[in-house]
Amino acid sequence: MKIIKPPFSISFIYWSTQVVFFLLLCVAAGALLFNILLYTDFFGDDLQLHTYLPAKVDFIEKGDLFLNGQQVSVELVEASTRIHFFNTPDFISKKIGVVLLVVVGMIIYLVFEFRKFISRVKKGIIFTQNNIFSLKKIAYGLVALWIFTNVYFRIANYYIAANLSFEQVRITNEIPYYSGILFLALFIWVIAHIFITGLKIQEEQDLTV
Amino acid sequence: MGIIINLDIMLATRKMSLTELSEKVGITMSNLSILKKGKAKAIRFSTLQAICEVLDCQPGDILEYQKET
Repeated sequence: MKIIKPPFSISFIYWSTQVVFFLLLCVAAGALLFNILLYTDFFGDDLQLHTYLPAKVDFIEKGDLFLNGQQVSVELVEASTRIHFFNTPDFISKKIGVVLLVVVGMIIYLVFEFRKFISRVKKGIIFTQNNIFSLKKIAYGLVALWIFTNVYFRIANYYIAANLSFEQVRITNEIPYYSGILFLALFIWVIAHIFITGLKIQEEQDLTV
Repeated sequence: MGIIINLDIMLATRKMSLTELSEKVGITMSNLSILKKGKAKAIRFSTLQAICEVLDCQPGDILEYQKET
């Protein structure tokens, strides 16, 4: 069998995916350990968590911008932020732990499927049913991830962000939608359908004598 | 039925094996086998020409149309 050397870009994506997958496995192991420690009450009342706040904050902070030798007066007016708990209550930390585990699990699954896909592409196996299934799984997985994060953000916003109060800063009810994930899912789904057509052409080509 | 390939009949009348045809035409055995079994979806003019040259026949001798019932 003639072995065709894959282009550099494919090899680069393949090895990058391998590294990302390995790092994600480490993150997953960390997330699992964190959950085990949480549920065995290892941290007690000393757990200090930094967590993303699914809401924007309005504030006014005057400052200067130095650009091209000019000084321009500016104001910071809106930002996304994180929330720090000095003593994280048990019911919050456990929920965050579970969400972390679910999100990491979903991302690992997506990268795992992509790894299988890119590995087959690297070997020159491109228009196959397995690749189509992998692309569809990635697309549906991204939609599931988008739904999960949005539901979580809304719940977190309702329970945490809506009940926060600061003197200088106003919490807005704007929640990020992360529509980029949805567009990526749509794009991959379209590619899966291009692969379906590619498979048909490939089969016809293979059966042309 | 559609298009029927009469390659086996032509080979039998010429007392030629599939391997011999494969060598003379320059097509792999697997491709000729696909053609003989009627699994092929298309045939190139160049292939048809080569087979006709070797078997000394017309394309109509190899290909036959039968109405689907």
